[in-house]
Amino acid sequence: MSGEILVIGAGPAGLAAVRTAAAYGAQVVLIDDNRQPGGQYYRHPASEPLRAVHGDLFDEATRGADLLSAATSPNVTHYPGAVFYGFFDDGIAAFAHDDRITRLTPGATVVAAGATERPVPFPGWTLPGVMGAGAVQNLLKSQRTLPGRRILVTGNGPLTLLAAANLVRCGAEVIEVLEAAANRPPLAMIPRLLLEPGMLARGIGYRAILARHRVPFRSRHVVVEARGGARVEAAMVAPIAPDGAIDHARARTLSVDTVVAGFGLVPSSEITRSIGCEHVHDAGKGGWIPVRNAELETSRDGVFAAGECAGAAGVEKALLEGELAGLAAAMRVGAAKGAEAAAHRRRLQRRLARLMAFRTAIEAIYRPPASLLPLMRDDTIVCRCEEVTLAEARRWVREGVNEANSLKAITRMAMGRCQGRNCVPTLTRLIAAETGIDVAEVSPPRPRPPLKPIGVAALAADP
Amino acid sequence: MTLPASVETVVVGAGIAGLTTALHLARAGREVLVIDKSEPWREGSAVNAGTCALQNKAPDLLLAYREGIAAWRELVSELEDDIGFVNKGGLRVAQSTEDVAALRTASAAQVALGAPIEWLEGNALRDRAPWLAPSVIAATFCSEDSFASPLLTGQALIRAIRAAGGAVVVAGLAGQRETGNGFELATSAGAIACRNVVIATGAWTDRAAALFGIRIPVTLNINMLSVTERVAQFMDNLVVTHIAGRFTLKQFPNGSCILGGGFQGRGDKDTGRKEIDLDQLQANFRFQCSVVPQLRASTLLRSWTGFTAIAADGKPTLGPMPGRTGLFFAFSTNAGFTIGPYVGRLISDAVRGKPMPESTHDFTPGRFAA
Repeated sequence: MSGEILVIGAGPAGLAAVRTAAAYGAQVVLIDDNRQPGGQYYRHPASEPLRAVHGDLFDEATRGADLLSAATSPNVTHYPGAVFYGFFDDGIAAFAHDDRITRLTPGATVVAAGATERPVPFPGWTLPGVMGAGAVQNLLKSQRTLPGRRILVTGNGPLTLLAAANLVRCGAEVIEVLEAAANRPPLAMIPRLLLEPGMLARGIGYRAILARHRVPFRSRHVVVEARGGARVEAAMVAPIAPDGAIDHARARTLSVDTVVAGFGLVPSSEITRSIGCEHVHDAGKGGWIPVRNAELETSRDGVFAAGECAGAAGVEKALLEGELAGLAAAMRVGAAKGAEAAAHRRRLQRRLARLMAFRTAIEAIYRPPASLLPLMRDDTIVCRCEEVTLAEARRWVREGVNEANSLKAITRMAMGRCQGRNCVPTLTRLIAAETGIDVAEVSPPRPRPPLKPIGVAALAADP
Repeated sequence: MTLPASVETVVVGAGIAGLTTALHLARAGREVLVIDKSEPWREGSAVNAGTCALQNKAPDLLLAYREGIAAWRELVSELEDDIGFVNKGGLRVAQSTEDVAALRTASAAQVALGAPIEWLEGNALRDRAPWLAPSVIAATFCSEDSFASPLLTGQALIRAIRAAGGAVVVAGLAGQRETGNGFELATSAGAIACRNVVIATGAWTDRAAALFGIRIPVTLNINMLSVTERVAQFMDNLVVTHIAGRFTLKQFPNGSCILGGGFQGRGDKDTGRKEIDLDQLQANFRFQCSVVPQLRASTLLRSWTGFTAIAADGKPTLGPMPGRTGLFFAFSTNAGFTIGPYVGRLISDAVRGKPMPESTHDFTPGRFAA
């Protein structure tokens, strides 16, 4: 065997990769910035053992129990609370853990960094009481806490529907659920939906929960403003016309204390972008994703990408991709070989192809309106870390600064603590809209290590 | 953007020297076009630490750098936009008995040249800078030490140049031909004729000079810099440097600390590849934390590298090229950010026919001639 396998991220994809690679006998190093394995999906209270999760509400955690044990396999070294720092010359990967920098030179790497919530700025989106659908899931799973009493759920995509259903099941008063898309499957897509009857049934089930609790579900509607002093006190909502225009004339005010704004997920492709892997823009998968071959290897030799960071498409895809990438990485380092491994790989590739056909139908159902930028007003904050408003960012684009790196340098957008996660999707869309080009033509700024902030104490520690 | 057929003066390089040269020319009513091989204000000037310090400069160049800091103050008053210029002075620290001896020698030479420098040790030092590590046993304070925001400065200059009628465009210089009445330049955006050319290409000055058949030998530095997350102000807006070298530290008004000093990354100026050297970066951080321990509590947001080049004799290369009418050099060599606005003033004057001051005669671009 030649080298150990580095797996970055202990969510569904990362854990599936670890389990598979370890089962083939590979040596695996698993790093994740959370204290517990499981990622956002298999999130559970720190104080409770996994078995204590209640019933089917958090069935994802129970389903993940055997996967979580992969992190404790004998040939797996798990570094919880480790922040990936970056790849450096000569194939060195470095991460911060326990107030020092650890380096290794992996024989293969599986990047399974997950996704973050898509920022969609609207007036009032920075008020306390506005949160993402992923954040709500997180709150329910790990804190067993409702975010508020009267809740508006708005956004786009299946995760938002799931969050709404879970809020209802936990006893929250959900006032309305708004889906920005038309939410109707094109006829040609119906056969693809039937490829995965189990998943289709679950989706219908979430809608049934809302119906049972008489929660109105409105497609082609969106929040247009959150209002309040110290926190949300009301929300304005409006229909979206078939041409994508927001119909402010028909706006209504809802009395709520919480706005759950979940506009889907953005793949966390910072790691693969930071090392210069080739990427493409795929709107249906949430944005920029690494180009991969049939073994999920990126354009950089020995670097595989799996799960949401290579295209936000749900946990089933993440699990399959993790397994496939873990297998391919194990084959790369020589731990997995022969006919059995090749057959395993073919099986996974076939299963993945069917799942992705199903996903294209889901993407068609949830295709968002052309642009949500018109939700913003001049004084709407686009970059929360550096407090840059739409007017400020747009002024520079109109002065001719229409390249993301330059706009970043001038406005300080994407230079703050979030490293651009909360503003780059807006920044690139703004440039595209103002210059009349497709967002796929606007490259995001290339991330530089550290991809997440790293303690100076760790960097200054003695070697 | 297509280039005009001709312009009086082309400035090659949209860094601090080139843009300030162009600003003064444009404001004097002269026709000027700045060309840069990539987005303007992208290389050395844009990615440096923003230090405009006097007391970390060698005595033979001290007066030139002092002119640089004076030119920064003028620039602040000449520009409409804020450029984040802060002049609260700086500390140059010593951590060992050897350091102290070296600091005494260096500061005495600077004082002899008229630099406003104050010696600090014991309680006076602790009172002035309680955030310095106990291992710092002496320091000199210089009231002229300053810093500016590289991010803000570039855009402010570009806007001012455009407002004054000048232009700044992306076009890489690829070749030239002397026409008897100036030059015809070949660029990546097409040809352009001009009477004057100003080479303000920083780390690429040897490459640009070679296009004119001129040798300017340089060594390349690939400086690494880092910025921390914002923290509450604790350094009193002072610039910290170190007598042992390879150290600059300051806290910007927004709260983030910039760690520089010239620890070396890796890269290649012809391909543009720039990489962090992790060993060097960690050495950089250890050194910084040994002087200002409070940094240990902050977090690193970003590190980056920038190219800078030093002429073989360490001196700036400024002024008209002897025997080549219309060709000027605006190459600052080390610490080009500090001296840049002074270079801009000198070279814009030279283009307008003023003789270079005697103090700059050692800097003539003709001195390397084979």
